[in-house]
Amino acid sequence: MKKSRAIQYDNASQRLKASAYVYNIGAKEAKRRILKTIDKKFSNLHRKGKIHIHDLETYKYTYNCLQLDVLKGFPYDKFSKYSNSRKIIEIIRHFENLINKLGHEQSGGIGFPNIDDEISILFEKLKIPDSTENLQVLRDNLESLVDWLNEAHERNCQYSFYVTFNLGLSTKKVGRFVTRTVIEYFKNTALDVIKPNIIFKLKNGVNYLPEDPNYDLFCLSLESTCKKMIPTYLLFDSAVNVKLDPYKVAIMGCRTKVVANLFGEPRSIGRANIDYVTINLPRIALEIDRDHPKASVDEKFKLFEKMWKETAVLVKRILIDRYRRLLKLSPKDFLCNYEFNLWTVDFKSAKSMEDIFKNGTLSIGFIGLSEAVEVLSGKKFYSSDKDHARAIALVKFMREVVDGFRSEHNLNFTLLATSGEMISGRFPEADKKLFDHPVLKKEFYTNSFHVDVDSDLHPVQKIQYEGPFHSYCNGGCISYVEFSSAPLRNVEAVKEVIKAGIEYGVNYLGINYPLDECQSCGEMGTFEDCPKCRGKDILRIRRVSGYLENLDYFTPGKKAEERRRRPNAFIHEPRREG
Amino acid sequence: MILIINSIDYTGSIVDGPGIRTVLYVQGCNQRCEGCHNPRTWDIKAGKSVPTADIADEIRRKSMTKNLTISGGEPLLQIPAVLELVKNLEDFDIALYTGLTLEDVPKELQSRLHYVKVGHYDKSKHCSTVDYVGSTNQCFIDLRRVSS
Repeated sequence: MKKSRAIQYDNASQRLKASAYVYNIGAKEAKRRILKTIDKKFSNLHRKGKIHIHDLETYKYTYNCLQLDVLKGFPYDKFSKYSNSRKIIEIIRHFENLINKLGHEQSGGIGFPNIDDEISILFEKLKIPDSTENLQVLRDNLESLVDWLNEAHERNCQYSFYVTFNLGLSTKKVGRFVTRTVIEYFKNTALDVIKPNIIFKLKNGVNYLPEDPNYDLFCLSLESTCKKMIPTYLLFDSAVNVKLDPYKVAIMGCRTKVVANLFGEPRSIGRANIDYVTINLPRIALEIDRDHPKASVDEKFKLFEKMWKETAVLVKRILIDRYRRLLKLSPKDFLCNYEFNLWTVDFKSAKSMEDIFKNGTLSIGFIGLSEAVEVLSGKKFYSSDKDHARAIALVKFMREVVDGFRSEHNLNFTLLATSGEMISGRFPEADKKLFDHPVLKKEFYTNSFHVDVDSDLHPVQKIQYEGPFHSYCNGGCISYVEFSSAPLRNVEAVKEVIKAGIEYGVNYLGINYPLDECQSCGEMGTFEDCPKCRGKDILRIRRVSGYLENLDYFTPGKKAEERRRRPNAFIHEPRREG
Repeated sequence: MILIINSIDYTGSIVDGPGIRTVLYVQGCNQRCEGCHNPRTWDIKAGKSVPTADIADEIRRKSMTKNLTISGGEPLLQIPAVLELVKNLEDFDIALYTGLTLEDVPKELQSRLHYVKVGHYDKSKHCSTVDYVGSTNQCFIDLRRVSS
């Protein structure tokens, strides 16, 4: 379906309809009221585009995103009467039910930390034999779940559900079957099947090496990545993750990572990100550039640290303010969590909301490191070792400050490398009104610590430059390598990128490329008009903020960024010297 | 020994053989296929003459992966120098793109290659969906798979 050109969407997964208009009026009013009720210092920062308080409309109503513990509160008793096929149907229906309910109960994404293992354990506990017939029923229902995730734009009457399947580790028959089925279906269905986000958990000894039991699933995953950009890869052999238990750690498709916990063991399962606020890094740099034109580059970087910290202290206070407001709610305000015990702490037996929510993370995000460094030093941070070292030192400093907040307040503060679908355009738009600088010409700010999308760096170089930042961004981060079109069956290329990712300390990795499909004849590739039938009705799929979306629905900032994306590896017309 | 080259591309190709590859374009080709993607490499009198040892040194220094595709131009117009270069890069995974046939690739050279792409480019058979070739009459061969 083509979108109406008259409508400007603020999120690529959005599809407007009557009830959505009503919801949006309410959401706008809720935002207005919140900005009036919180400290003026906070609301001014947000209004002026120095920071962005994400999911503002739900400020006092709910947390952000959750890696569900589906097993603990699973309604096992209800299943005892069912036939085997009904049990399988109801497992998947239960998942769908959780997604639907949680999608309205929280503001952000829903992660299944090990969907392969979880279904395998449910088969065991519910005594469903792993027979061919039962596996066929499972296949049908998993495929149906994927279809539903692509068709449902029901969250808040307009958005799809942000759902992530983490998988690839289970070596049991049913678990392996789940991984194979989900990836195969995703890989072989039409281009407009773009949900859920699938994250392949890669671990030496389980699936990375040819002698590993799930190596065949890794190979299948690579084929799918080559064809449809999904799965992305969570690298457990990378220095930043190597000490973590791969079964306990998972990632949200957008990149959010919840691991370390002041109140328990490091794990993601049953834990949430409570709230997050992103700081506009280029704004700080532009203020320094304007107010201290004679300062040396080193002095400017020092000033940056000072000013960033001042902003971060206010951001911290906002995050705590929101957190405290959420603590005033009752466990029964979270009906789905209350009923199905999806957190590490049971909502039914918890003494207080604090007992539950203290296990979540409060994230301080950033975007536009590239533009900020360019404003301060006059150069891209990947143009010299010196500027690269400065950029790393800056992010390290930010992490140290965030860790300081963590000890000071005994709360799980983390540093998040934000992608910021909406703010990538909102921040520069606000900054343009105040400053005139070359970094503002391109109408968007670069994702978190990424090198510019038109850097022309070799894929391995991009990984080398971005790798060092991964160890500091404990609230989540990703590196992408941009290919100029689908790498067809060049799985080795994707494998080499993954290998480099592991070598250079990348936590989470994705491969991007423009993916076009002619709606008249079905030709796939990367093109303006169809090379086969000259058709002009082209479906264009791109990745935005971790999820695949239809380019027609991109926000203005992300559209501007997409136009400048340049491959890190070439396909069509190789660049050559004369 | 001297090899006449057009250029070396270190930006990372994913269409000139499996993996991410550095591509060396030799200078000079007598095939002159219509629709050639790289006609500037045709002129046998043009290009830069560089000692093979220097080329090997540079590739070893600048290539981000140990994968090299020797393309062109027609590499088989300079067999002795190509062979010398390949001997200098023994630890590299090497592919050779020729417009000629497999029989035209000397056995000694074949034994040092992992892949070879054979056949001239035929515009009427252009394709973008077959791995590592430009037209369907061409063939991309994994020499290690064939020999084992």
